[in-house]
Amino acid sequence: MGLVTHYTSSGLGGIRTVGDLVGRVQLRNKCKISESKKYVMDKLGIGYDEIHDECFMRNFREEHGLGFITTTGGAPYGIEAKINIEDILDIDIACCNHLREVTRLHR
Amino acid sequence: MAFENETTMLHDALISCKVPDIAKAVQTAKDAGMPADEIINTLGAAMSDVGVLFERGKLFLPHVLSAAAGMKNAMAALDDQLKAGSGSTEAKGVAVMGTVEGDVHDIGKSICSTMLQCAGFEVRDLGRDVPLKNIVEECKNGCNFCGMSALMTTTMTGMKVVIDQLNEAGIRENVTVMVGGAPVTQGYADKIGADIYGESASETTKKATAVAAD
Amino acid sequence: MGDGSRKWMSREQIRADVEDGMRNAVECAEVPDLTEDDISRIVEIMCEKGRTVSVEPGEEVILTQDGGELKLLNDSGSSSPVLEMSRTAAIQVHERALGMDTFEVAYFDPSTKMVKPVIGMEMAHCQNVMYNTIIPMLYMFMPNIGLYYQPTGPFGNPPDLMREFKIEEAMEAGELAMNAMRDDIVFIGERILSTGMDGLDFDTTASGGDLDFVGSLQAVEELRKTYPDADIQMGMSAESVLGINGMCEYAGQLAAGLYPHQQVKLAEAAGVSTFGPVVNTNSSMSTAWNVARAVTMVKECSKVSKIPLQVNMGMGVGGTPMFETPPIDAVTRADKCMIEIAHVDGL
Repeated sequence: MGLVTHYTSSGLGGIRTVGDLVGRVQLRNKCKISESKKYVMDKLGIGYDEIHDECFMRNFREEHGLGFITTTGGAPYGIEAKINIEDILDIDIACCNHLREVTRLHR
Repeated sequence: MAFENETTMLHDALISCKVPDIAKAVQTAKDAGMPADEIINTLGAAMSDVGVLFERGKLFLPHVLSAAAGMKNAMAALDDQLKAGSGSTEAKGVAVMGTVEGDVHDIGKSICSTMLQCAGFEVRDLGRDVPLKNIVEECKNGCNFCGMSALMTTTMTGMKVVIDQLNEAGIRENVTVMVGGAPVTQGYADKIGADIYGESASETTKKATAVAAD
Repeated sequence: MGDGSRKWMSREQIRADVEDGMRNAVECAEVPDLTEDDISRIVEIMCEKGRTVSVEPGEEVILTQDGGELKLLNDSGSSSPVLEMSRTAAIQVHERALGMDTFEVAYFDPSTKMVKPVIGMEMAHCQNVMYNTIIPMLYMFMPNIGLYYQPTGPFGNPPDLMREFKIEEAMEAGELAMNAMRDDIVFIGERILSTGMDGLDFDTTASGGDLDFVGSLQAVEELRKTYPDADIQMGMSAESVLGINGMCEYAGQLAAGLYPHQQVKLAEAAGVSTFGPVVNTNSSMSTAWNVARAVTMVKECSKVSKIPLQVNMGMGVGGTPMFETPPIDAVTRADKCMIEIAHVDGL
């Protein structure tokens, strides 16, 4: 049990910042960390100073419906947020595709 | 050093793990007048090196078994001389081995059993998920080494239970207890009163061999 | 130390251990030495005064938890607090409270052979998770060829058979077990991916040696035919692939005896998208020794790898001490060294 230790030492921060977004790009594009970060920064239109800035990213994520830690009633969460993440990162997310297939929703 | 060339030749032949080459080296050493027990000791030392090379990925399990087969043949070929001299064809010791109750991991334990066997121990491998009382009962049947493996922090506690039960059975003094497995450390071995901790199968075998030689 | 205990060392002693650990890695894995700058940097990091150290802003990497919700819920054999909550809640705790960037969902007994009979339940769980979480989710299970050998499986146990000098029988049993394991991995993988899961993670690959490794690689290749874009991660179990069979190959390369920088090339060939190398911690040696050794091996792996690396940094691997609650001093130093010197993409 040392997750918090690893996070404070070296983690990107998950949905506190851009960790999930960079992780998703890395998974999708099979690219190294620097390329994944650059892709996310380019798509979001932000720089290195912002990607690990919890204050900036909290507002950014709320504004763009990308999901964040604390719940505020009605804000996109779960798969809702992931559909917004698909748009902003211009990638496909498997569960969003699955949702569209089984419900005949269109992108 | 006497028989320096023969020693090197025997060592290299065993490391090659080729049964015919080992047999040839043994015959050459025998013809050169090298005493049988020295031949066996040289092969035994090389067998330890085989174990280390296996763990480093330079040799593989079939190689280890081929080397063991070569060693076994050598002992058979030198049987008369060993019996006549001070050497012995008897096993170095009898080791009861098992993965403790509740734990189904056994690759490391099986490799350790193999290496002990190759090193000249008689091995009674009880398998995996061995009820603790079965380990104790098998020890009561006559052994001087008991090796236990665990890969989980929850099952390794069984090792202390076995040690306590060996004490209660009055046979603890006659049994060298060896413990190993991923979560086991020297500190843990000391804490539960085990005699030997092996970071690897080859280290365990080396330590057991040293104890058997005492 | 590698077992979590504390030991005071001078800077000179730390330096000596770093060099010795590096040399050990070079000898075992046949990889290049670290540079003098690397060695000095490791010593500096080890000697930092604070309890914890961290990477500089901008250098953070992807953090993932490969134990799944098991790490909070139940005893997976390695230090779980056994908290009473649902699986989904445990996953959300990792997402919202523990800062994970990606995550791996797992069944309570995550070996291939144990997951197959409950695949329906696992598929439903995955669908539930995908609707209720934001971070990328992979499904983790362990190939674990060992469970296909007797007494838990139908095939003879190769090491036991070999000990009886039944070499051919051992080889045959191993191959049959490998094929059965591979087919089950594909069975599970296809069904899980059909739910919309982001990907799969094969954990502790090669725990059963070379047959386990080759069977897993063959399974990845098969899964790629149906799911060419899915993320398929492969995390190893040990630094070197044990040669239980000694002759099985993948892509023309003998699988036995391979170290991380060699393992990753086979993983790439199979279609693995993220690779998780392992370097084992020696519990009798210092953290400085273990970290230097791990970094030396992983640096070469990172250099030759075309796919991202997420190095295993859990209990007993990657320089992290073998202890249920490893000291934060050691953990953070291991992390920082691994990122700054081995240039990994994630932990």
